[in-house]
Amino acid sequence: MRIAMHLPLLLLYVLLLSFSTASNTDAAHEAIPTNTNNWAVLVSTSRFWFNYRHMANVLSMYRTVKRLGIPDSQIILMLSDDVACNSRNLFPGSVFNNKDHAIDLYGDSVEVDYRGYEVTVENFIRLLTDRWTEDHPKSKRLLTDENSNIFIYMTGHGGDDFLKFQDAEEIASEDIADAFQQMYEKKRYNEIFFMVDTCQANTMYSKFYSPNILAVGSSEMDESSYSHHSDVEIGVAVIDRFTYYCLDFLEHIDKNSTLTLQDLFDSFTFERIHSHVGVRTDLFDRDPSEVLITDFFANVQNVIADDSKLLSISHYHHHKDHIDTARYEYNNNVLNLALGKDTGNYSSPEVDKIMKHVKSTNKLNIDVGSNECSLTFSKQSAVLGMVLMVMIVLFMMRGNNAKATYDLYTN
Amino acid sequence: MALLEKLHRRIVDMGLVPRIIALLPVISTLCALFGFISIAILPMDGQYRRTYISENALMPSQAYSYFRESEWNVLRGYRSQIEEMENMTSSERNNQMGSWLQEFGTKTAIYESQQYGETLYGVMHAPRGDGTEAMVLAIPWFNSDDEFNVGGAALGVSLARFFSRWPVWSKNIIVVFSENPRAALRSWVEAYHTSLDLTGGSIEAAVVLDYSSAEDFFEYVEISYDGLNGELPNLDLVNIAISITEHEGMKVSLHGLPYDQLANNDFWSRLKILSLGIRDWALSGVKNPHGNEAFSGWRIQSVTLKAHGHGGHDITTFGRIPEAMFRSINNLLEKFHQSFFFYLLLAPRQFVSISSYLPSAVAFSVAFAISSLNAFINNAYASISLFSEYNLVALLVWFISLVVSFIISQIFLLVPSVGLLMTISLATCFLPLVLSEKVHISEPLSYRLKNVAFLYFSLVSTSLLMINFAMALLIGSLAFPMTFIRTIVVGKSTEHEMGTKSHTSVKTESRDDLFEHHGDTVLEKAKKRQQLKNLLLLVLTNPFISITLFALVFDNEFHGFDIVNKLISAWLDLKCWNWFVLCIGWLPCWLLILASSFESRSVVVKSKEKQS
Repeated sequence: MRIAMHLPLLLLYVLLLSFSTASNTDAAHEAIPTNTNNWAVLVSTSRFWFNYRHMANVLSMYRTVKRLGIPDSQIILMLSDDVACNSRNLFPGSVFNNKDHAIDLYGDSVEVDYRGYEVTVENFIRLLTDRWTEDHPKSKRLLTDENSNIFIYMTGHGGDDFLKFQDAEEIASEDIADAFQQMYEKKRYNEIFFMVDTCQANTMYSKFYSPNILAVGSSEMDESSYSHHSDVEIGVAVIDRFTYYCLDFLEHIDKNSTLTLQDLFDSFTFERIHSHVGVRTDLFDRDPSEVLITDFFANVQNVIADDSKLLSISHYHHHKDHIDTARYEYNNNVLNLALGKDTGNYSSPEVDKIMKHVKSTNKLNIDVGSNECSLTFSKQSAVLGMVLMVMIVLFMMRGNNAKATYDLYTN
Repeated sequence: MALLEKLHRRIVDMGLVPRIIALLPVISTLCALFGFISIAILPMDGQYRRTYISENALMPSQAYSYFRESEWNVLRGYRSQIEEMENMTSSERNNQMGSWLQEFGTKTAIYESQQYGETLYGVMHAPRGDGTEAMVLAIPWFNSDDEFNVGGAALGVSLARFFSRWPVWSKNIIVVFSENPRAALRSWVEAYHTSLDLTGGSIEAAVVLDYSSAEDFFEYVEISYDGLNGELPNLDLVNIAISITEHEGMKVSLHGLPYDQLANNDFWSRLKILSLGIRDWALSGVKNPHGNEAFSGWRIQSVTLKAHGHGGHDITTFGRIPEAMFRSINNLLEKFHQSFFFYLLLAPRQFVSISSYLPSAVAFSVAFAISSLNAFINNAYASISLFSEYNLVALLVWFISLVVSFIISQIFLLVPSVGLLMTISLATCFLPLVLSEKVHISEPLSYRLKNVAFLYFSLVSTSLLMINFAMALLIGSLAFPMTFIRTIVVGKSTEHEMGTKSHTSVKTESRDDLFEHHGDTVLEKAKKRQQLKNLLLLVLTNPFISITLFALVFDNEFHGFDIVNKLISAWLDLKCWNWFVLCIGWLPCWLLILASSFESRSVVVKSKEKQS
């Protein structure tokens, strides 16, 4: 009798639970990038005048990530910094990555965190794993957390499973792999994008074993990476091929871009780079075609709208973007919401449909501590209906028992 | 062990050891032949390598060279003034040039040497560099052929003016105007490292310019790189000089090759350049120095650029070579150390390194060592104890010959009378012939003398081939005929007691008894023939006669007994050791061989075993 009384409640509880978990897992299958901040670690491992191009490589990447919004406080720049003011430099105080001298990479506001002889293997590993003494300044630390996407770029002279640091020592690919594992265990990153431009670069990522790392290298084992061109006035090569074509692609990217890393990888061809570019994706959850360039190179945060209909960003990924139309796509991001932008002149039916669900920021009311699992209306009504049915059935069953006991007493 | 015993038994059975001993002279000759052949095969395809730049920092010709038309005008202006300076005194010239250098900010000073005249030099400190190192541009007023270096001087001052306007230098630039590219320049280099006040840091590299014509146009560039005493500049420096010259469109000539032969690149052209290279390397300092020899000995890499011909390229093209070379050297942070210091060039872009050519000189050393061994064991006196009087006398004679040679070398340094030296040399060759019946030595002594002589020569040659390969090869090959000189045995000596420990005198039948009965004429004729052969070989292998013959046949620069004069003055002026190599390395050996070629009397040998 007692069990019969508890049974309906039990059933009700089980039903509610299953529905909630169902909706939970539903939410998890939506691929939402969960980073909240982006960091960049840019390292040039060479010194001396004839390695001018390595300095130019790193400074070009520095300029790109800064332009796309990552602040200096989230960029760690490691350079030997002996090129701009070298007595052999015909243009003192300037570093160029092209013989047309269109951009002066060293022009203004370059903050070098580790310069000269501070660029060592030990400092690099300490930086990644954050093992410093107390007095190490915060500006020189990689203060990332589990929501950080880190873009790590390394250039210099490399070989089979090693990278030469400053003509004095070498770092092995196993060392970097272990450092990344430490970072994973200490929850110091959400995702890492590792790019390396040296000779035999692809060997550098061959030993990684931690999850959520995407790696790209400029050349295979036993293959050299080449410089792109020399500047006859400066008298040295000013940029490497791989970095040159990366920049060629990235110069078209701005903060609104919806181009993906797969587009970047597709732009690397052997005819341009003269070496075989390798990409390692097995450790990475998402497909590169779902990863925006701005997920790593820019400082863009995605917003999740609090609404009865769950909005998934993946809707956008179904559009086949072309470079020409990129800038006309409307992005659901904080910037545009804050500006209160509406679709205006450049709207498409899909965008309109989605825009109905977008609220402006002053109307948003996301409670951070709330349970993520919010039920949709249809699910709510289904649950209520089931509950009602069960209640009616149980009530009818209980009625018989009550009548029986009543009969007993009335005898 | 069983295998070794088996081998030993086989060898003994075949009588291998006695056979080898009997064939030792042949083996020695074969070694010498191997030495010749191993040098001669180097020009074959597959034995040599293409040149390459080892030091990545150099990057020759990656920077554009700007010494062009506007600088040409400046150069012509200076040259018109310099043309009139030919007959001035050296102080007037230096003062005028010094004032020009000071006009664009060079610090100048004049080094005065008692013996060798005045040398003007100027130091341009690099405004942005750290000033601890320097590059030298050296221009002799009169070049190696004693022609007035008009174009060179004009290039020197206009290049200096051009360099003073560039901010890219990380090393100081020193411009040197010396009277000649020989002792004057070398004395300046020595003074720079010891006594001069105005200096610019340690010198990394030097470029010597030689453009003796007053015309604007020249045809090709000769690059000389042989240093003194067997030193060569780092191959990187030579490679960048050649690479820059060819990049600018000019043809490179090595070792005085004329223009029409520059396009050839086959086995014979390479062999020719190889041979000329060895000759120039061995005789560097003795031949007319080009200028780069002056810098040898201080770890300064230097080359000389000499313009030849009329018409083709203009003088500013020649000037772009030192400009581009200085831009390349400017990139360096360390002294030249990456590329080879020992090499032989077969063509401007082809070379062999020491591992390819060294076996040749080693073969000659080994040939002499085998000859020495031959003189020791290939005769009846092999079993004489080591402390016998013959060995001691031989060593004594060797010591005396060393002293005599040293005295000769010093005498002729003080009294450079070459004619006297040559007559004495020739006269001494005839001594064995003249004194043939009167003076006799004992046969074992003759062999011992040869033994010591060849052993000594082999040691000298082995030590020399490390330092100055070409010289070692030269003396090894020229002195080799000495091994063909045979001991002349005549008559028997009286019974002779050997004063050693456990011998008792035993009378043995002398072999010569048999000979005496067979017709004296046959013996006499054989003896005469051998004596004449010995005479010829002695004449050919006398150091001074031999080197004079070599110079006359293989080099156009020398006439008569010039080379001996030059050898002496090379030591006195430039501290070139070749004179002493001949006198103290070769001459004692020759004197010993001379002593051993006197008629000798055989001696009875007491064998240790037979005690009857």
